[in-house]
Amino acid sequence: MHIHRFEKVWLALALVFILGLISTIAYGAVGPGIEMIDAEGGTVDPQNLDETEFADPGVEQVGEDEYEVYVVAKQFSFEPGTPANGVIRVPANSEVTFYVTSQDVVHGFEVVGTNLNTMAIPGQVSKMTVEFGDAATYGIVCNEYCGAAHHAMEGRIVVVPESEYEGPGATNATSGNETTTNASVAAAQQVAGSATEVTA
Amino acid sequence: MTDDPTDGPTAPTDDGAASSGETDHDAERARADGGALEVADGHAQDEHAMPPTSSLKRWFVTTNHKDVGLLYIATSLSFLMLGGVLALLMRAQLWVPRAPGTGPLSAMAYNQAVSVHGLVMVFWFLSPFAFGFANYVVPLQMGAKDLAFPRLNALSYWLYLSSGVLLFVSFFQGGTFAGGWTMYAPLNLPAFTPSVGGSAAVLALMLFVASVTVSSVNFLTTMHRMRAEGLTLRRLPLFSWTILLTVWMMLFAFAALLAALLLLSADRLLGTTYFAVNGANGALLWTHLFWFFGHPEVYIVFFPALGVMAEVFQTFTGRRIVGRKWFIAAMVLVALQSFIVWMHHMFLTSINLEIKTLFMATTIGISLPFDLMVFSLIYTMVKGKIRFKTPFLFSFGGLLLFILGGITGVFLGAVVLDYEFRGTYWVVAHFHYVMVGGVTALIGGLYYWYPKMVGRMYDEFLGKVHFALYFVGFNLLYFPMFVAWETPRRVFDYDPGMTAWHQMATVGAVVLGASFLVMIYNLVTSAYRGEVADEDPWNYVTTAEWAVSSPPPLENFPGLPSYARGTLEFLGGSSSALKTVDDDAPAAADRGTGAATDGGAPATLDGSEALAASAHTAEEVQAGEDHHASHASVWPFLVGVGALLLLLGLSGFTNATWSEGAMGTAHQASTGVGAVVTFGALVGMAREQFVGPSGPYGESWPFEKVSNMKTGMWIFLVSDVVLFGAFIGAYVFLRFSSGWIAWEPIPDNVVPGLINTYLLLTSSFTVILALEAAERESRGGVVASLVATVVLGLGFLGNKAIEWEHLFTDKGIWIDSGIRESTFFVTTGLHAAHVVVGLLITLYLILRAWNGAYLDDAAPVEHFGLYWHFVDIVWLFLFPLFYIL
Repeated sequence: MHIHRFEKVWLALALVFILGLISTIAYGAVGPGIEMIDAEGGTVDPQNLDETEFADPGVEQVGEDEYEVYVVAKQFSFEPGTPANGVIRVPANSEVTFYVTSQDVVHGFEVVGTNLNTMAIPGQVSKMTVEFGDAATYGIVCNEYCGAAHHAMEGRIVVVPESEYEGPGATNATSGNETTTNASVAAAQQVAGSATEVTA
Repeated sequence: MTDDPTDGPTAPTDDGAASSGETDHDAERARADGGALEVADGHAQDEHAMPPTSSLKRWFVTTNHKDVGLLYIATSLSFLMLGGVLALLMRAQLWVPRAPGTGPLSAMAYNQAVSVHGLVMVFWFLSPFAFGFANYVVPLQMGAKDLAFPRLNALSYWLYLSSGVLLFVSFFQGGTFAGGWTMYAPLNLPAFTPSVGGSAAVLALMLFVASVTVSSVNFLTTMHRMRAEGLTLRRLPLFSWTILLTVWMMLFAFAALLAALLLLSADRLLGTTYFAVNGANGALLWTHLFWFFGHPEVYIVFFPALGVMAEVFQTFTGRRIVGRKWFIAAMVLVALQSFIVWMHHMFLTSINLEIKTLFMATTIGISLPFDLMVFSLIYTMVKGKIRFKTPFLFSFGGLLLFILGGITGVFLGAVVLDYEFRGTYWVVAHFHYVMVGGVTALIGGLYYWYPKMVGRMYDEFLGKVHFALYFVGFNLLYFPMFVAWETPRRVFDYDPGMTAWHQMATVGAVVLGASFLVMIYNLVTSAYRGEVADEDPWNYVTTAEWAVSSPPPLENFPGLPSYARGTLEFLGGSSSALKTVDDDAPAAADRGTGAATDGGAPATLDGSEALAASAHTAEEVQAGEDHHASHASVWPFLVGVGALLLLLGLSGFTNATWSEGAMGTAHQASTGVGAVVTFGALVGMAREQFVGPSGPYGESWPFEKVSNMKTGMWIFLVSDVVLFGAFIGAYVFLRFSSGWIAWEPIPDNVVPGLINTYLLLTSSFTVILALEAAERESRGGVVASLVATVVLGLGFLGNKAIEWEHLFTDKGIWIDSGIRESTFFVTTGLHAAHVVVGLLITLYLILRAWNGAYLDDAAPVEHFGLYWHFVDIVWLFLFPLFYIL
């Protein structure tokens, strides 16, 4: 059976393509590419968050001015973050590392008016380190469409003056300025441009 | 599969036509492969009598590319209406910020409207609209009588219409898909979007992708194999160039989407766990698969618009495009680069910064070739003499909008800026400027080719009114979105401070929508009352569709088209001196007489003189005159009906159970009837005597010596390679996510897999024996070898059935037991489905071989062999991956 030269070239290209496709994904998975295993944020089993550091999400103090915040995004709230679950309270002039994951579908975690923004993907932990300056209130919105009440999924970060900060344990106290969704987004916009530094 | 019994003999010639691009032609050059034609047997003639255009029946049976083109255009405009109405509903909801449940749409209705608006516009309107023109114009520009596989072309259309109908029906199946057009996992699973309509929408998209794949194979075969003599790729008109690159991108990109949708359908219908929350990184897998398709898709929908711009700019500036060679090179570059930018849609995932930086570089880099094209178009205007007709206004408007859309997109391409803009109306405004900018140019194309398609001119004044309303409405709709960019996307609730901008946008939406009413009034009334258009109403044209009457005759040309002498001539018929767009030829306008000098003006050429310059022999031309191709087949329509019923039925199957009660019964009945109709129609199509267009006509680079059918088969297999590549890639990706070592192969025993490997390899060998026997003209040998193939294939399936039975009962696992089980059963199941299809084709071959077929022409056996060997090679990858490693 005669095989034309172009057919041979075609065949070779097709094989190269299939191998290439596999190898790019393999490289992305194990190489320095996509952080899935042993990556900085790491991975969690989204169905067993109770057995991880996300079992009791909230703010933890880890250094003099250093805090870690574990946030679980779920349909349709942030825990902590959404006022019903307690807003996130951190002191001014602190360095805060966020660990964000989702327990159901893909969500967004965007601090409005800053470039602190990530997808919250089930199974993935997004790690971001931020330096907060002066006292302010930031809105958090979910910007990945996540279902029927996506529009209502929002939360708040309250940066309180150092003198008024009562420690991480006070997280669950609401900030007292609960208003409608629109008002909180507007409030966050007023602080847009405040210095935040994302090193994630 | 059996669409092309008439393919010319492909005996090798000295050098074929590969080098015929330049001016000097060797008239004596022998060509055995060009234009050889088979005369249809008289029996087939009556069955394929073509009803007139006034007959409704014609539109159900036609396979003619021009009819199919018109069907595509009409249908896609209907989907524009559907998508437009959804958009207007959304804009009405956004008139003021509202609490959920108030206003015209409930929260879920708004989410459905957003999702389906995106799906309809991107899939069911944009590409099919462009492919209406492609169907109509490309064969004319290439000098072909039709596409290589006319029935497959009709099949593409009917599958497209069926998929659209299914999508529309999904609204009434408990609500359609409401997870956004990107269908991110795991929101796309029944656990979060449980409605039957959600499954129907996913299946509808899958059917659409099947239609696109059929179409890609058809166009690629046609465009590479069936160009007129002298029409080298270098001389191919720019619109045809954009379509050629579009279908190449489609072939690869849509195969990846098909893989994603097959996996998603398995998850929704059978309950596998690829994208489930308890899986490993299914959410990230979906984004990779979707955007590997999704970014090339941007260029897939935009390239035809670019082609329209290029044609319209040339016609209405009276000038050949500046830097034609570089324009084409830039497009080729974009087409290639479009496959390495997809991760810029994933900057907010946990991909590390090095990779993100790389993709930022490729993304921003892809704007450079576009700059070249934009400058080329602008410079063409500068050097030409512009006539402001409606098609030009729309194309020029499209260019302006695209420039703005492109520049705002570069912002999003930068990682850090993307963190700011992500998920806001900036993104919405950006891609609407790009996508609807493309639509603007395509509307220009509709006005441009309207006289060709209808034979009458549209009303120029109303056309300009349409443009004015359209352009004002467009900018009033989308520009405020840049200003109000902080509005979060896909949300009907927003900051009251932005109300004014959103109200402006809503007003703009109404104006934009109303402008289409002007267009429809204009186009419908002009079809009856418009001024009669001659073959070339624009007076300056460079492409061949303007050299024939408006509308063109059924078989397009008065003779065999040839560019052998640098101008278009019809061998054996009247001639028309239309200059080719040759890189070395002076542009018509440069000759100082401006418009109205060149194309379309018929020049009476001495027929024998023209023929002498051509490599075609007089006999070939004569045969072309006598050739009577088929133009009608009802089977593609019936396949479409069957596929619609089948998928409509399957949508009621969720997590491996039918929906409850009477609806469940209805779904099961629909599935059964649909399966029977689809299968019966496919058999009918295979058995039908159908005489496709002959060909090649002269230029077939790079496939001079490969027949149409074989070329088509290879191209199809390439898309199948991508499909399996994506399946295997998904498996590897998920396995790495779970820890490669910790993941044991599902079968506890490699022996059944090993036996199956031997069975398949042996069956490949028996197919080769069948081909040898056919070439030796041994009927018994062909039948015996094919029967042996079937026996070996059944052995493979039987062995697999025993193995699966063992896994299901003895080991107690099921396809939904976990991600490990899902990947095993789905990937090897897809391969088994390929084996089943192969065996069905083998049975058909055996029946025909028994009656003595293939002895004089072994090509069908060879083409089947290609498929079968491919299926075997896939198993050689699957066996180690799923049994050993």
